[in-house]
Amino acid sequence: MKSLHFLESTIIANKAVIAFANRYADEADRLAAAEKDATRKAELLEIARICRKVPAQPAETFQEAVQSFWFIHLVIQLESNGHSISPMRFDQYCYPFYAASKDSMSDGKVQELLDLMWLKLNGLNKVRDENSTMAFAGYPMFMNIIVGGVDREGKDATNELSLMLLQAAANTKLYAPSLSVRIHEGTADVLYMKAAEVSRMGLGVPAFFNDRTIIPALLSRGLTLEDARDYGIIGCVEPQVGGKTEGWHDAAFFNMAKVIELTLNNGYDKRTAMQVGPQTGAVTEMKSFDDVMAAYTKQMEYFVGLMCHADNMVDLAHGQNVPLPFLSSLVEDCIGRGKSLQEGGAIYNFSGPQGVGVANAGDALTAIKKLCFDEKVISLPELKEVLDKDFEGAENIRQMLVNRAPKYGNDDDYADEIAVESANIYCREVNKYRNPRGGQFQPGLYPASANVPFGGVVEATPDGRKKGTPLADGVSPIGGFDISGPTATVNSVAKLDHEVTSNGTLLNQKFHPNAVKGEEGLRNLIAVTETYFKNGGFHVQYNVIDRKTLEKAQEKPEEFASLVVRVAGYSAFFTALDKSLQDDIMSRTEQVF
Amino acid sequence: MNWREKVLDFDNIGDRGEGLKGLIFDVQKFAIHDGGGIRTNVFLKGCPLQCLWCSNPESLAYKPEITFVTNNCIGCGKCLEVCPAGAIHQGETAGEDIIIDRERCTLCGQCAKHCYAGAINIIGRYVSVPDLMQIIERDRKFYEQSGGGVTFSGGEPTAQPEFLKAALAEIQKRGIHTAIETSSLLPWDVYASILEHVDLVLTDIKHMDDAEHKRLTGVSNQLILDNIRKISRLGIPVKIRLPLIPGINDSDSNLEATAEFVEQLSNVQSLDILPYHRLGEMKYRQLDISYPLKGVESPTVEHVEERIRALRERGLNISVGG
Repeated sequence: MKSLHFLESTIIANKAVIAFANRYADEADRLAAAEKDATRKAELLEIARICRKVPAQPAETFQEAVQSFWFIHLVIQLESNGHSISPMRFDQYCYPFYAASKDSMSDGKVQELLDLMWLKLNGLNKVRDENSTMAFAGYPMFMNIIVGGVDREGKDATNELSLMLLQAAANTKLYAPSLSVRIHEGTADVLYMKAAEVSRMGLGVPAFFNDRTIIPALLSRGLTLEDARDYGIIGCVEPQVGGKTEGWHDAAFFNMAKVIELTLNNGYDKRTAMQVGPQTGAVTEMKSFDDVMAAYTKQMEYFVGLMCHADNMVDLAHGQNVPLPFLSSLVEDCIGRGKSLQEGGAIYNFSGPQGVGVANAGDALTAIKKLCFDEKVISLPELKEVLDKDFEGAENIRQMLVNRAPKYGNDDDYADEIAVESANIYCREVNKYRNPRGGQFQPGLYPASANVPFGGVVEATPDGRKKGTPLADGVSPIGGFDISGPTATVNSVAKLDHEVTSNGTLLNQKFHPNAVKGEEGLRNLIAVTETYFKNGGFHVQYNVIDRKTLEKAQEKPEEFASLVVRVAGYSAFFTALDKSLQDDIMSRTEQVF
Repeated sequence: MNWREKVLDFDNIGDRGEGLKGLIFDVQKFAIHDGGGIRTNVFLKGCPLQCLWCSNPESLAYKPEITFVTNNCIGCGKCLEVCPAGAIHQGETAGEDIIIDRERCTLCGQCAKHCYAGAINIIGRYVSVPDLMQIIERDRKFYEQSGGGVTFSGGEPTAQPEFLKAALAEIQKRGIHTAIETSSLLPWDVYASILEHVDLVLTDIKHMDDAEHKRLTGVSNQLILDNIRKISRLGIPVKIRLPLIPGINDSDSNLEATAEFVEQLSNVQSLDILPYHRLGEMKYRQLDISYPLKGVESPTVEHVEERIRALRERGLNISVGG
């Protein structure tokens, strides 16, 4: 009976979409009747014809395909308040229509349609609650379009549309959609260069994704080889195969730095004055670094468990209260199973919560190991006392933590290995859980902009971070601590296990325009990307902008209203960001040499 | 250098130790203006020239040195406490910085070791070729991917010829591209033995007039120019670098003489114009040395372009900024 209701609902929803498209057709007809200009009249009549045809019937021309895509995209946006509704591999599924229209439509016209589609995508926005506006600063819709990569057979999939979509981002210079490029062993040089060129414009797009890591990661999650090769990106950095997956990629953000704080406070939270975690031992009882790691692991187990159970309750509530019939009708095998996406109708099901603050957790543990146990220059209880006072009257100790312990992001194995382990402990725990849709939990390591509000609820930490200040973003090192240049940063970050984090990892790199000047500069940008990917990296994106410009923009926002920067997995207008996030972006080390 | 090597290795300061070692004062990764592709630059300490405009005063002396960065000092007073030589004292007036008595200082490094804020640093470390190779190898994939390699700079890298030769030979043996950035001021036989392991030479011409050259750098340019001619005969690719100092060496006559000299060479890839900048000025303060080129302003982009127009018109391959 439930299945019957679900199936009926999909029919109602689909009929409604056809009616919706016909209303556009009626309006275009009405405008055409009143139109004096013959050219415009013809355009309107063509629009009316197309809107009467799609999405009810299959598109045949490129313009019909774009229109059909737009209706579907728009209606999915209308159906729910969710974000990250991603067009994914537009250059692949629209290519047959492009090829079919090649004789009747010039490339200039195709480009114009794509540019217009960019404008339409920028017209979408949703009302969010206050917490969401902080975690996803800058009104992003996370609509990710991805180009390039391999096709289902493993061959290079670059085509004319791949390049034109990159050009559309360059032409419009707007913050949406999120544009990504898939890179594999045999990526066409022309695509790589074009992507680097657009990257150099400073819009923060495209993001680069590594087929060589992501395809095996998806295989390990049970996708078929063909499906894994056909992945696109949802939202910021979350890979999945379109039309077959309910990935719930933004299942939660998890504050790793808070776990450090609770580890040092025996599970007691100063902020709420409550015992929120298990008692894993007072610092006075921790006699070795292993004791600290054991306590950290236990706290992690407890809180990851809490998070996954909470996720599953929400998941059940989604299925019972807010199934999405139209979206479900577009995803295999909801119709076959007679189940909505929210009840497990899709072929692949995941829940993906993100760890935030890897660099803080890693550097905090590294400082403890180095200074409290290896060199014994400060005892752990003494350190805790200093942290409790938020370094008041102990700036020298804070400086010691900052300058005298190795830091993640400098290709220093001492610090990097601890950062990797602190992340692995989180990932291993997440991997243990399953969701009510019959799928598995898979960890990611990216923050959107949650690293800023998350920092707000964490006391001072042993990485030298003061109470309430932002956490590091994504898998990037702490801003200002990566002093050994971008090659060292990339080498460090590549040491993380980017396959187990199949819900995505995110590396932001900022370059001064001088560093990417000329063709040689583009080649260097590609070389950094390519080396990161050969070493197993997952995703990297570049902010090419100098600090001076950002400082000026902060001072005189009215003059920089159009300045677009990469936040984390998405771009936003710089002046629309909260000051704390602006500061955070500015403090991400600028790689200039 | 990575973080730990740069900041935490206090145990061997000033200690030559056993075996062949070089005195280096910095290793810079992702260097992209010194020889093509992504490179690692190794800076050797000590230089026979004393150019008035030198932007790396910490590179001149053939021994480790102590620097004090005022801005980083948090005034904790730990250095005063730990200095066994009594070489550090507090400035007389309130709020004044500490003063380092460089005569008394034995470079033991205790102050730097305890300066958590990183205000006091020892510039210069002795490293062996295998130590250096470990750092260089970390970025191998970047060199391969970008057509980069390793560049030795300074100071004057050829002033430590045995170490330089050994390092270059090892790097080349491992299939990594090598370059040196040099003044070319050294006996030809030593130079020739170094060049056997060099794929690209970056060398300066600071002034064509010998008397001026002596005034500006303390040495004659005869040997330098002779050596550059000889490299040309060997056919090793060369980039000529001209530090462009307003009012000092940017006259029409000097630029013309430089161009004529360069045109006689057969192996020049480019003439790189390096416009004067004052970024080094603060480093003089940190070393308690007065800045020798006071009153010279950094040239504007327009000034540089105006000055080198004639060079471009001669058909030389010019790049600005290296």
